[in-house]
Amino acid sequence: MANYTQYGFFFDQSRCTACQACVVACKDWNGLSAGPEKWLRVFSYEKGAFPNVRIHTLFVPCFHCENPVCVDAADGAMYKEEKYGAVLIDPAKANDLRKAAAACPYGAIVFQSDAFDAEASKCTMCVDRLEQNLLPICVTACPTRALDFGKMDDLRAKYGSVSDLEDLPPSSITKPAAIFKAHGQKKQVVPYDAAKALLLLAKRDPLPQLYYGPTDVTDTQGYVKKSKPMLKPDNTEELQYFTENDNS
Amino acid sequence: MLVRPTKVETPQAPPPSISYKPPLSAEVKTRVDEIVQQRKALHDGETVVYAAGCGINCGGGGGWDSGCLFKVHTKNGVVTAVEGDDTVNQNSPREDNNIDSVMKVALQRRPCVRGRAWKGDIYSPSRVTFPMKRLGKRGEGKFVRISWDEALTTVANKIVEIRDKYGPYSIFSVYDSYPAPVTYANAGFGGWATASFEATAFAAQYMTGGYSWTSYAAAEGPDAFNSKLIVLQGFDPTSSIFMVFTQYYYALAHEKGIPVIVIDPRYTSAAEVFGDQWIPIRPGTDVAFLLAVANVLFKEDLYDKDYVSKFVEPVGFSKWKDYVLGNSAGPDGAIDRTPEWAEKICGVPSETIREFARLYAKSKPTHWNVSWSFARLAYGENPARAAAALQAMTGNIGISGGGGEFAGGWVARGAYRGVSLDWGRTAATYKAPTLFMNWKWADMVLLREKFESGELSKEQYHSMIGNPATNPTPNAKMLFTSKNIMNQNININKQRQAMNKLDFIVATTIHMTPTAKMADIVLPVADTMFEDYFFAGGPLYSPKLVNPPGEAKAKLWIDTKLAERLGVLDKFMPKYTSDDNFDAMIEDVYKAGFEAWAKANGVNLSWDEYKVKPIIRVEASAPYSVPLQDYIQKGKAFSTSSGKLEIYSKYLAETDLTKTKYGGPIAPMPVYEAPWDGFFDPQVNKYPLTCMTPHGVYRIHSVQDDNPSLRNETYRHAIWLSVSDAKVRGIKDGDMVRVFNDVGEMVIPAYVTSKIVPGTACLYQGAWFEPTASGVDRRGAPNALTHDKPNPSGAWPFHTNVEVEKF
Repeated sequence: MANYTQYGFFFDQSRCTACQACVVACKDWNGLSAGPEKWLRVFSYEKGAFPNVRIHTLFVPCFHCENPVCVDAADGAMYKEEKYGAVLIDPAKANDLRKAAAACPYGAIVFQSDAFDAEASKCTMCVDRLEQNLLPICVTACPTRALDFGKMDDLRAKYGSVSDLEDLPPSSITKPAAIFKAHGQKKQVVPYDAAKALLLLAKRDPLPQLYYGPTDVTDTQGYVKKSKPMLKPDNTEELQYFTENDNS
Repeated sequence: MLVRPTKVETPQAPPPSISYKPPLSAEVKTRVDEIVQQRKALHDGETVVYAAGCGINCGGGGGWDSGCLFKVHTKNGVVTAVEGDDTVNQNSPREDNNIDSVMKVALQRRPCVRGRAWKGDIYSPSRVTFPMKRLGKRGEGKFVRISWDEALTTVANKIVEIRDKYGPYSIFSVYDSYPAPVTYANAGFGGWATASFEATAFAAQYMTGGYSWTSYAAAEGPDAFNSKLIVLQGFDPTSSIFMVFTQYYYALAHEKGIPVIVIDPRYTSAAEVFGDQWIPIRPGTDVAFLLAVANVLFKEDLYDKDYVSKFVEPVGFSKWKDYVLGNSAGPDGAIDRTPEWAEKICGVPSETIREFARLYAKSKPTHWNVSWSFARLAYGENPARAAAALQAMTGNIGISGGGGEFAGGWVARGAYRGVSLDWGRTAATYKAPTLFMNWKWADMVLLREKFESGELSKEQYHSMIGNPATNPTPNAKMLFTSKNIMNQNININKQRQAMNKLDFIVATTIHMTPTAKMADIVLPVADTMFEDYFFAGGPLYSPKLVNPPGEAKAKLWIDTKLAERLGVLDKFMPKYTSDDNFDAMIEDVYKAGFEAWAKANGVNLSWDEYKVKPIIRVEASAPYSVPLQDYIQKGKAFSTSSGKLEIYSKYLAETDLTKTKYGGPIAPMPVYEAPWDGFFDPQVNKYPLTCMTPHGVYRIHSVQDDNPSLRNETYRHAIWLSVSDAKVRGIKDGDMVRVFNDVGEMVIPAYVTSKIVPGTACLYQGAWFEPTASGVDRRGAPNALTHDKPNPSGAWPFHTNVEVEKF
């Protein structure tokens, strides 16, 4: 595939607070109502256990892949256009896209409901805005300026060429038009003995003990559910659960 | 001459190959163009106007919280889309690629997620669009539409009737202002104590001599880069969004390698994104941590003696030193406040506290932002004052790279230069007195009977409601409310009882909130985008963009029509001629205000130019302004009696505070007092989880709780439980749980997480109380569970202890 220009996104995970300003901006601009038509999904989930816990975030619009496997699976209902490399659904043929959706490893194609023939839609890269020399609405919305957008060559020059990020499928499958910066390691600015802290925090003298062993706190299996993203949910309810933020 | 070409037999062209990927076939190209045009058509014919917002309890302008700028699309009289500020750095989403604009604070004032969702709120299903009167019982939500004339006439008649029957101190507002015309009608009284920052303002008042927060709140953004250490204690600027750039500057400071330590009961987004390290601490125990840090600084002789001798009042300082070292007694006796003492309370290992103190002492300047949140509990004045005392003893107040002790975040230059509007009013001769502590208003109503029967003396009654002994006694009968006070004030159930005792309640409201449901008359009010607004500073202006939905009216119009009916129009709104001219009258006043402001500030901009781009950026440059700099760098005397920073207040020590508005004793200096409704309150035997009620990301207090673009869309409102607490109760993430204590109960989902200290729960404030017939809240309003036991300093006790069980 030659003779087209590929534009793409830059996502700096180390700056993302998962506030979903970009998600709301996307729906607002694109006239999408509340519900499962989430063209852009932001996931927030935790790894590790108290007190060594981390928040991971993912920004997942359509990455308008250079190898758009969805287009191949869409029987002519989807296109990859040439000016920006945007992958588009033909709205006139949007009722038969379950196969195309299944092909996308990022889950970028979303449906109005769980009905088999529900209308599909997806991120358009805001081609309407690009045509007016405006940026995709999501990247203009980030309070911590975690996002950028541009020609892939320019993004690589600015931010390097990492297109893989923990918990996203390997970029080799579809060649996503995206550059990522993963969040960094935490450090101990001052020493902190987690084992001692777990002993201290169990006690509330002279009142009763709060828990009896560190594993009561650190063995999270089965209790914490938001410990992973859900790129390919089984249904709209699961999509909603995994894209809801709990900071409220 | 036309020559007929020789017919040549050419082979039949193959059928056009349809390519859906580049290079596209012509047919597909055409279709793609059509699809792009369809997308563009969505915004055809829209008008685009800049406006400041959100106006409700956040409001732009820098002086009041955020200072965002919107680019609003409207069509056919409705708001259709909201873009963010693009008046600078257009097409540069990552603005720090242009570091110059960061250093000048010449940045986009991008709205947060709440601003992005503003359209959803202003058209939400609970929007009130017509004046109404109550039909059913208070709280039932049964109303019937009435005309504005009937609504206003009823309200005006009630004002006169109640004033004449019960005297002037019968009409009131809680944490709010009743309509100004009431004052012109010689009635009304108000309360004191602010929910957000009472403890922090108290600290500022007794330590610096000025009850204020704006002038102490914040430095200019780039000053963050001058810090050697940044500590965020109880402060999450990603949810408590105070000034739009604050979280951005913290992110950049962190990226520059300035160490950032986050001390919080939760692993917040701030801890993840800005923090190098999270130090978990039990809620409400911050003062133990702070005193132990002071203890190390004293014992290891690590504080700034030169600064202290210049700027800190010495007698009080040595009294506090004696207390911290255990040479004199506090409320719990004479105890050496060592890290080993503190660790048992706050749960931070003593080694960590000690090393933290040493690092802090050698990292000057340190910016230590304790926000207001960790002081919103019983005895909240203690942590607020202790944090400031530490920053004083290390010489971090009033210097570049320091500060953060009294609140706030970072702002832009010029943020507090407001525009004054001249309505041509004659000042009212009646002066409304302050007769109660805002969050004690329900007691003011409910205890009145006991006062009347003689069971309570006047002095006792006053003392219990935060009213000085020498003041008149309130006789509260008629309540004006324009805020969701019942929801946001402590102890909802007690307030419901009190509301049922009142003769008349008027709610001026945008939405049908739980508070509005209790009203007798509901007046629909417009908000930003539906009426003109100037925000506190900046200045930022938000023009009226479209007509409000239904018959909603600007607050000023409502007040004006009320004034007319009370016969005080000439004093309150002399410029008013007719409804048709109302918008023009407002614009004239705004225009005059702006022009005077522009002249005084040397801004060469006409009103018409300003109206289409209502933001004025004054570029910042080094040295950046920092709070209290005049006192430290220019030697201006503090307004305390000694002229210095006072850690110990002689007034608080020597005055019988029971006769004052405080109604009870307050420690004269920051000391450890275990807060009731806290981690060590014996009630944890019954209700073992200490529940914090902080700001969430998706509401501005209770504003936007019914926004369909946010609620159950971008977030789930659930109670946070730690893994160990969930496990012992057999609760998994997503389970519905019953949360209860002796004052209330609710049923909501559980969020099980490792991001919170064990023994602690967290329920974000602002969800709207939605009781079943038996009073069980189905929506998770924290104040269904908070107690209103008096706290003399006025700090609102927003913590509570609860039990949680699987529903």
